[in-house]
Amino acid sequence: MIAENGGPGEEELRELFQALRREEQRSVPGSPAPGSLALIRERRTRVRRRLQAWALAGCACAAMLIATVLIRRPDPSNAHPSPDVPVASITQWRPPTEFLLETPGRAMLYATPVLEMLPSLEPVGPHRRQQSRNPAQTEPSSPR
Amino acid sequence: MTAAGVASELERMHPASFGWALWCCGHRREEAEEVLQSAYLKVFEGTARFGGESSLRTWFFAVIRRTAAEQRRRRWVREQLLERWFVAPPEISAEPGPEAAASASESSRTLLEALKGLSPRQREVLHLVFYQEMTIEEAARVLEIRLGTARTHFERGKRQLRQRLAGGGTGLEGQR
Repeated sequence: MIAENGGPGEEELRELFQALRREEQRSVPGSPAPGSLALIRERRTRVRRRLQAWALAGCACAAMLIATVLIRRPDPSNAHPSPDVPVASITQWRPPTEFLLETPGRAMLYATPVLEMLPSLEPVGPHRRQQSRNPAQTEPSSPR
Repeated sequence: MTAAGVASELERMHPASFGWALWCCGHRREEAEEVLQSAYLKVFEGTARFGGESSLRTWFFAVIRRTAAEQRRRRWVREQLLERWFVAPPEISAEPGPEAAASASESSRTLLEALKGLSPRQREVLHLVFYQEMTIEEAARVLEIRLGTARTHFERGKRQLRQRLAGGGTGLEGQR
C-alpha cells in the first residue's frame, strides 16, 4: 500500500516497525529471576542506607558549624567599651585625612603677626588729641 | 490477579517490555535494562500496584515510562549538582544510541534515522501502535493522554514519517 504523498503506506510502516522489533528482540536480556531482583533490591537498599548515613553526617557537621558561629558571635548589646579602656579625647583626635589640609601658607593663618614690621605708633592720649584739633595754638607761628 | 499471576504475566511480556524500555531510553541498552529492573522492583515491592482498571500490559508500560522519566530526571540532577565539578558526564541525547544503529539492518537504520525528526510523543505513539501492536486507545492510556490527543499525534507522526522515508529513500521504492 502506497500513501497519497508517495511515502510508504500504513502497512509498510507497520512492517518496518515489525522488522525492527524482530531485530531488537534477538538480543533481549533474560528476564530477571525473583532471586536476582531480591539481590538488586538488597544492593540498592545498602546504597541508599550509605547515602542516608553520609547525608546525616553532613547535616550534623553543618549544624555544629552553625552552632559554633552563633556561639562565638559577639553580642551587639555588649558593644560599648569597658571603662578600663582609655578612650582618646575628641580634642586630641586627628582625622586620618588631616594631611590634606597641610597647604602652603597654612602656618600664617595660625601664627600671630609680628608687630615690628608695622610703623611705630605713639600712644594716643587726650592731650595729644586736643593738639591735633588746634594746630595753630600748639605750633609756633610761622613767619609771614 | 494474584502476585504469582502478575509475575508470570510480566515474565511472558518481558521481551515487549524491554523493547518499550529501550525506546523510552533512546535505545541506550544499559539504561533500558536498569529502567526495566527498577520497574520490576516497583511491582514486587508494591510501590506500583495493578488496580485492574486497564490491561496489565498497558499498566506496566506506563510504569516503565514513568520510571524512565524519573531516572532521566535523577541523572540530570546528579549531573547538575555533582558531576559538573568532578567529571564531565557523557553527552546524553534523545536520539537512538549507537548500539541500535550498529545492530540494525539497513531498513531499520533508515527507520530509526527518520524517527529522529519526529517529536518524542509522536515517536512513542507510533512505537506503541506499530511496534507493540496496541490500539490508539491503549497507547493513550500508556502515555496518560486523551484519546483525541493520541490520535492527533499518531496521524501527524505517520504523515511526517512517510514524508521523511519518501524523501530520504528507504529502499522501499524498488518494491513498489
